[in-house]
Amino acid sequence: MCQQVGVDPLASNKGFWAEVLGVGDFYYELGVQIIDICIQTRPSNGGLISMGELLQQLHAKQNAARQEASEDDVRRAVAKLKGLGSGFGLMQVGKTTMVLSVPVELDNDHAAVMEVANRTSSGSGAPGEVTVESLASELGWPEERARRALERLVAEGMAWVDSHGGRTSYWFMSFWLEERLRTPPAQPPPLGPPVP
Amino acid sequence: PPECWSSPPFFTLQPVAVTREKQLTLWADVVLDWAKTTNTWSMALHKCPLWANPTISRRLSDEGVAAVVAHLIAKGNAEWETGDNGSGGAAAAAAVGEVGAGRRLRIMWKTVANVANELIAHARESGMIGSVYTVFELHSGDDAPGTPFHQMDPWLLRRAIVLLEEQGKAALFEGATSDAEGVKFFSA
Repeated sequence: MCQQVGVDPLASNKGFWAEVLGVGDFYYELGVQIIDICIQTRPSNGGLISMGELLQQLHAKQNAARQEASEDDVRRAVAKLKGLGSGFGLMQVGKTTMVLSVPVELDNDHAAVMEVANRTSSGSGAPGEVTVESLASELGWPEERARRALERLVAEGMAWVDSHGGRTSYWFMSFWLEERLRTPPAQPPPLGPPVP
Repeated sequence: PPECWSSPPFFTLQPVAVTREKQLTLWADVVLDWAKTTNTWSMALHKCPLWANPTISRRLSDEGVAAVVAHLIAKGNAEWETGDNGSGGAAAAAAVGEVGAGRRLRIMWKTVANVANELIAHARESGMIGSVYTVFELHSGDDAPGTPFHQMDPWLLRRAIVLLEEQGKAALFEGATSDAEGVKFFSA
């Protein structure tokens, strides 16, 4: 299910020895930073993080002295991590590249669900939000199939449940966050103290 | 408030254990941040404006609120004003039963130990050693503004003083009310 990264790890001048030995220097350090970020965010997103969010977190960590990692750099680093048999991989969901950092078997149904969730123009709600009904309708599936795929993704921690007004929807926090990064909403006003 | 507070699923108590743990950790951050910003040390639980976000039309259920409170109590950042603060299941069960009843919750965005350390340091740096001060003076006296204790709830100051007494750094003089009680700070 994970896509071929399609990058030749030897075709880079970022540290001759780093490439030959596969260790040390830019990609090694980048790999460590990527693992760090994925571990920290895993409780929220179940091990599925968008390339955009990952890059933003990497740039926040990196100081001016070292060069900023590009998406291409991240792809190379992930290819190396994948080569170590670490459960890392890339997954294309529509226009968004996701970095998967858990060795979870996601099948085509799960990918299809995520693709629907990622469509910002999805009629059912906000970006990252789906319901059993909207999925079944979009994909032409029986509701039971949609429910099963969703429940698996919830169990893996990749989706959060939203119960309100008798209706249940499912949110893919990684997509929701990605969208918030692209178009930050107006700040809500600060909350005052409790009314005595 | 932080980003997560604008996210609808944040207001549904998550069924999956790992996700719930993360959610409660985030809720604790939201509550303590808000308490610090508004200088809130205690509140009627149901009057807290955090439990509902009208902008996204979501409200945390009573069960959710109880889980957040239990998490804060377990971390040492909150306690009920009256009644059992027990540990584990007993406190959580009591909390669920009491959420709707207007009980007051104390929020310690600074722990008692933090306040005690700040208090004795302040006393030693400000030449307060040897004299007796009332709790009222500490939070509302002429010299209170600008100190970390300005407008601090008396129950918290009292707890800090009791801790300092246990550590041999101060003596508490009992009084009819918290505000009337006094403290004498000792030098190092």
